[in-house]
Amino acid sequence: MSSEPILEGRGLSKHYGPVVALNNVDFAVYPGEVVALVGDNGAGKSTLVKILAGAVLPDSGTIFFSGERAAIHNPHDARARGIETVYQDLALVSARDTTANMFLGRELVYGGALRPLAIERRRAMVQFTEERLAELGIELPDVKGLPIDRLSGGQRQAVAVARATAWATKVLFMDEPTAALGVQQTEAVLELTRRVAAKGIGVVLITHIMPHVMEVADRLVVLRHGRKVADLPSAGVTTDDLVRLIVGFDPAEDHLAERAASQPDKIGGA
Amino acid sequence: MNHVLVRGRGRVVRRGLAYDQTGLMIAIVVMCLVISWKTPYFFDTGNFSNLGVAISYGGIMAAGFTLVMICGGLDLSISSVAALSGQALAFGLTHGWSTAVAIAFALAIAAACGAFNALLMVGIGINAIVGTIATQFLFRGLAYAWGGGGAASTAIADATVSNLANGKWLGVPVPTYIMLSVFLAIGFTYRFTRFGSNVTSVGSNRVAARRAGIRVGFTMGAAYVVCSLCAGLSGVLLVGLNGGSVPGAAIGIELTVLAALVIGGTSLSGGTGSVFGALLGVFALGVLANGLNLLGVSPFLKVASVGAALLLAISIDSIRQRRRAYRDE
Repeated sequence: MSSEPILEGRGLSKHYGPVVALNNVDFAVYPGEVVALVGDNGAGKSTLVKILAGAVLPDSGTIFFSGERAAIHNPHDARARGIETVYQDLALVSARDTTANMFLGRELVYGGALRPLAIERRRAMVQFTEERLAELGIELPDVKGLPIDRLSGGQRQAVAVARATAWATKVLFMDEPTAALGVQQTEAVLELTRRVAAKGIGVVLITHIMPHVMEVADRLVVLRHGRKVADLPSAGVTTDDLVRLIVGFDPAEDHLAERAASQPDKIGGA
Repeated sequence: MNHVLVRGRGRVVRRGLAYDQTGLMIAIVVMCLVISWKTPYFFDTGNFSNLGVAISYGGIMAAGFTLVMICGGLDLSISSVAALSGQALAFGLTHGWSTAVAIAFALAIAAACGAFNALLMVGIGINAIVGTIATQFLFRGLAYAWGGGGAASTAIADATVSNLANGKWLGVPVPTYIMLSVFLAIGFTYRFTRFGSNVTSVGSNRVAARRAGIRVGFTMGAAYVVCSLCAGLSGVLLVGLNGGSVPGAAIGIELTVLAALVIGGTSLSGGTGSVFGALLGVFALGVLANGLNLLGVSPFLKVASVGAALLLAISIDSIRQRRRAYRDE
């Protein structure tokens, strides 16, 4: 792990009308680490990731890449810097096959890279796709000719993860990457995040599943109501500690005590 | 890594159902057999030549329309674009321009119509059904006004224009060659180029396409322009066929073209489609119309047959959609 962050946001804020999604948050990703970004629903996790991935513009704050101020104004700016994202809603083109989705927006072509009428190198693209999937131990019925919408939810998730890991060279954001997966596939994705980090890529993992956090994260960042409330190494932190940080108080004691005091009937009557 | 992340082959068998053109081919063969059983004139070189000419105008439009539909758009203004470009051609030729310049001018007017459609449907984001019906009226009105007003047609005796529409080469009408060339060019672009890929991506999932850095607006806009260019080319051929520019030319053809596309497997909601299927759809409707002609069916019933074919096609499309929705569950 290096001492200088590969990607850093300082003082990031984002409002949606009267709703404060993100309030003056500093967040940094270091090469080769897995950061778990946790928080309750609406804490601002997805907003933070979307800002750093160029999908959303912040109201204020600055982004630094490799120590220098960087203008990340759209997803293309992020991707050009090796920043990839697995979005919660996958961002796959369902009518197209796995190979096309793997190369979406960066198809291999003969001749110039920018000419829109350039002819695609399908064979090379298929081969690359098969290699990447094999590397990740992903088996699909067919990577060419079979539209993605013919795959199961888990298979599609696998394609989204494979695409992001194939192109990420600096930072990989994963917004609930295991949401649609079974136990075995979930384990595979978690193992994958470790292997991606081992290549020196900074991985940011958003998840609601605390055991996953404890299993793979080097560092924990906790958001609550749009503010960063904790940023600490994961070593020695228990799941209970984490839940306490996420909700802002000890749910086992304070919360019940509070409710028991104010609404004795409901607690007792249940 | 030993984990098998994903496994499954169950649905591969059914993959062919949605895009397959086998059913359509069988339908065409059956139609041909029935028609030739009922009338001796169907399998006749003269009749095939008529058929070839008849399907070319709509066919050329269909090729361009396919791109717009797969992109997730719709262009119901093509009939009027054809008429307007015909008027542009007539304007050029009656003002003493050379044939090549006049045709180029007609196509430029058509491209401008496409750019205008793109500005409205893509730039502003107007609903394409309403928006292109509006531009259909707009362009049609301009076509009527351009010729000095009213339905007066302008006689054109230009030999080149006439040959493009009425000529034959090796016994096959020239418009058929033009149609097949347009289909080849657009089919190749759709199937093998990055632009073709982007067309499908934009039509299937616009958000994902944008996130992937694909220029969504450019892709859709280009599709509208290509579609109008095809309509303009049809308009030029129609001038040759009619012996002059008719401001009321091609009225209503957009629905026949739309029916041909949907019959050929192009989805109304974008994302999936087939240029080859569109050609088959055009041929199928051509054979149907030709057969009804030969069998002496009333022209009013022929109009009804187009409506019936369109309804059948969109019903099939809806069933496909529902299947897809179930599959996603």
